[in-house]
Amino acid sequence: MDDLFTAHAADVYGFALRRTSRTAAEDVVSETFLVAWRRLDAVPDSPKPWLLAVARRVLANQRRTAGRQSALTSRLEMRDPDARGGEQLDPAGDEAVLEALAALTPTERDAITLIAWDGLSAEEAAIVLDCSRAAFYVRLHRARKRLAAALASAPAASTERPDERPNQRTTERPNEQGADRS
Amino acid sequence: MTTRDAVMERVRRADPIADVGVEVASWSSSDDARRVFDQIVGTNVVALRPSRKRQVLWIGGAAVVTGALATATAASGILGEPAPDPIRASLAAVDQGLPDDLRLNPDVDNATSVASSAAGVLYAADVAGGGYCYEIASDGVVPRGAVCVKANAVGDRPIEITAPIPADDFAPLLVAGRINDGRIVGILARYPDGTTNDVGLGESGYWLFEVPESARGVALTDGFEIVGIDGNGLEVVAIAVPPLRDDNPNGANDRLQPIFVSTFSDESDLTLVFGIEGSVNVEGATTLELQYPDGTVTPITFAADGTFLIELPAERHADFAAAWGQVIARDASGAVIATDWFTSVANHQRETSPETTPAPTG
Repeated sequence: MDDLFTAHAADVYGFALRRTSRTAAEDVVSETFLVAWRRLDAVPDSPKPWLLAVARRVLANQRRTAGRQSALTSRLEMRDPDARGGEQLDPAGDEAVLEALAALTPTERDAITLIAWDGLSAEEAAIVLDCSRAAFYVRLHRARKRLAAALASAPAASTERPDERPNQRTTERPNEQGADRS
Repeated sequence: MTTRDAVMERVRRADPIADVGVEVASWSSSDDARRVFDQIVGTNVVALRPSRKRQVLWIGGAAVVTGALATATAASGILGEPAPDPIRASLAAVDQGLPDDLRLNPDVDNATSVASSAAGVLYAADVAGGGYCYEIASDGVVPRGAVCVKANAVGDRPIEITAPIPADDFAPLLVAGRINDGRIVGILARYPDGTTNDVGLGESGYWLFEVPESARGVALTDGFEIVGIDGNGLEVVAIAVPPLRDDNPNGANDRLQPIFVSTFSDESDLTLVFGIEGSVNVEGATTLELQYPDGTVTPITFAADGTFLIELPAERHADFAAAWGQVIARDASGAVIATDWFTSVANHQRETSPETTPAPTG
């Protein structure tokens, strides 16, 4: 277990950190490897896609919970480094890309980001998404097509930080689907 | 025009952690990682520690006996037990990042178990003024995501429901909640085919339902309903539980597409397309057709729910090896209202752009 953690904790942490706050990312790592420990006999020889598949479901549950929190909270976490555990994660480069990604379905978004951000092969990404390789390519195709269309109609990329622009509307991070907490 | 490779490169450049990649790469050896690892080890030890309790309680009219060998992993049926530390921490975390005036401040110190199943325990904590927070624990003390309801919203939810997505293919499907409507005296789970399972109640209206293995498939792909029953046996309310796998290839997400198309082929030769399946989900679609790369069009029959599956003639299997086909939906007037492209898996690997294919004429 120690070896598995040492070899792949950074992969899981990076996967989670791209999609949630720093504190929550550590929780994702913790829960993912807890599952792995209890299912060691199910962990394949190439464990990274399997681990990310578990992490993806853990994140989905986090979002389900976060969905109970107010949109204000989500925005605070986006903007406020303290609320995000002191981190300064801000893509800061291409808000149009993030907006376009946010407009995709979760499955389409994952098809894109598993390749582009997490560095997985198509075969590995298909394992994470629990679909056939053929189905993954179809999803990737559809996602790319929609993303390209969205970007083609979007303004050019900006390097401004979102909070430096007046009247900037808040952009939700990909995979963060907030709803009101009642 | 934005090319497809340029799109992926642009996404890569927008990687939110690109600027801290070195930190992430070395995170496994950090103090934070060691703390997380120690937490995992500690949690597992707690989960495997035998309970010292021995109690007899009444749950849903049946006596539940727990003995010295009962563990926290296998739900004990003990209600009123204090929540373990990881659960209390998870309940407390609902306020994380919130300003003081938005905090719920659940009474986590007095959080207790309020319902149980074979594989899970439900814990709840009161919120000042009449609200509540609750948390499912599975695999011992692993929290599944706390849910809170403020006092002024309790009346809006005759049955509160939370439905965590299982962490892996073997994890039990646990759905929980609380009855907030005084008319409701019992609840059941109802599946799309009309069959039902009774749901046992815990304390104070809380309930925890473990989907039986026989219904696991339908719960993952189609979801089910939680139905509230009054004292006369009449249905008071039915609330949908969404499919418990949000990434299911046949599930709700694909239904968000105007047309969803997936190819099927022999994995030994990914240049071939033996057929296509999917669904047309756009409003007003009356006809559906397949356009081959050579422009030939053939109708596709789809079911009332929009799903379709067609096998292609053998002489057409290779048509999509390096070219794109299109599924086209038309309305009653014959106008195109939605389209989607597809090609062979092998063609995708060569990154052939579908955008270069001429659009169909309406």
